[in-house]
Amino acid sequence: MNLREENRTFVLEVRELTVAYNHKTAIEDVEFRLESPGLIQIIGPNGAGKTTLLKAILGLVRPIKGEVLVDGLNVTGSPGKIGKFAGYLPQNPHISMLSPITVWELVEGGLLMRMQWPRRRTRLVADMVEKTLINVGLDKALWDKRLWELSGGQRQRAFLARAIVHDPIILVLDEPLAAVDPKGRSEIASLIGKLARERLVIVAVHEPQLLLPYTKEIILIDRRVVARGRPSEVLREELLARVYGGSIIQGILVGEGGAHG
Amino acid sequence: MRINMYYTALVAVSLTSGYIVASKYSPLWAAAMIGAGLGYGALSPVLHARRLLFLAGASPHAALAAASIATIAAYKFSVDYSIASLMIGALLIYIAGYMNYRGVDPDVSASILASLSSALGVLALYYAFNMGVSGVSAIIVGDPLLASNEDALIALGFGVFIIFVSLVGALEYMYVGLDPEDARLSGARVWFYDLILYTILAVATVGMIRIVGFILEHVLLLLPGAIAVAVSRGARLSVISGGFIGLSTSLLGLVIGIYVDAPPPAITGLILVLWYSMLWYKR
Repeated sequence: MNLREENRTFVLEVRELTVAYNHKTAIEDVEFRLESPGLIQIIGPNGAGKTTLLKAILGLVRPIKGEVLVDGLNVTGSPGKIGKFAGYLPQNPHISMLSPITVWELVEGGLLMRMQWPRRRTRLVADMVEKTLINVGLDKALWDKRLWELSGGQRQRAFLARAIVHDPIILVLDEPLAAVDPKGRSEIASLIGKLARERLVIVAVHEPQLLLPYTKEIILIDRRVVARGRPSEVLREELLARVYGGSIIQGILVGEGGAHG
Repeated sequence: MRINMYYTALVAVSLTSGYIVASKYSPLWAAAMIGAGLGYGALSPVLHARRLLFLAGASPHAALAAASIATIAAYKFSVDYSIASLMIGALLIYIAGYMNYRGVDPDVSASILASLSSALGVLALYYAFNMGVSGVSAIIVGDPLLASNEDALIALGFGVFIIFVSLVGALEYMYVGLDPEDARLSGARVWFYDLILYTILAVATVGMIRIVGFILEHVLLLLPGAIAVAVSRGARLSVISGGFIGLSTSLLGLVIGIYVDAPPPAITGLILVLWYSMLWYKR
């Protein structure tokens, strides 16, 4: 199967996905079927299992039950299989001040690591890296900076560039707007919206408002899928109150009117 | 421009010190310190970026145990010291590596390696002293001035090998250290890169312990990298920088050590600590 060449609609299926850490269930019997392209938001309170679900989709954590299929191809627990056509932005990427890796090398590494040995830094590779860095709005002056020299927002853009440099058909983003200033947040949200026009973008967020204009579907989870559907179907007060409790749901509901659901 | 001046200074110190040692004293001494300085210096930034500093700190203990056991084995059973020590040292480091691979916290596996190696090392040293085996003190203190032709050439060979392997895979090792999850997603064999790293760590620590010594191994594995990642940008450049830092300080330590009649490894250690302190102060 070569999903990349065939620029077509594909289906990501998650079946009865159950993950446990030390015998404690993090997510249980999660099931959904998503069609590409489009932006899917996964929301839920802290500890609901959003990050675990994203990692299980990518095979980074092995489920005790269930499977993940991309157009029928079983990729359960196989990061190397799904990673060929998926990109990932981790939550708060930890950057050690002991790493000399530059912004350019991070993005170049995202591409080179997916190539066969011997990996050559060809002109084509350099062009792809350059194009991607420009695309995410990272100033050229920052390309030679070490990652720990960047601000939170710049770092988020650098990791987003790394996630998309190999032109994945599935993009998994964990809190992509965290640590970004308001101006940067709307810019990144707009970029994510643009990316979702031609690929399946799955985003875990705490505050769904900024991405609502681009969102096709929201999945509300609390270890299990509580609700899923268009934003207007999921962002309902009584539904959110059940999961979050009454006091904080106003923050989530703000901006619901912007949904194109 | 500043970077160029920095490298020019390092090269100038290395060439001058190397020339003094090789012409006035012995080319063998220079060869031994070039090998040790290059090897440890190049490996150090990789260990920093791969977040294996605790393992790097524990590996000289493994080298001490391996060298002590191999010294006894060579004395009692006439086995080849170099091969025996490398095999024992690599085995000990692989145990820690395998624990990491199985999901044990790297700090915990390094603690176990340090504890196991220290226990074995003390036992072996006790028996070696009691049996009157010669050459044991060089394992602990290290002395390039006592290096044989064979030791010097082996150290030089190891140094060149380590800098080559570190340079070729610099981005890969450091990428795995930066984001192991994306490295797994990329389909790269993370275990394979780690295996290479554990192997060159074993080669560096066990192979050169008689020249550098157990104590200074800690300094040379840890400090050149701390300086290199602070002053250079990029994976390969930091490896080159670390190699030059190790090379220049090792040779300078040898020259000063000869002039002031002090153990050269100790002088090298003090130069590195002073250098890092100045860097830290300037920040």
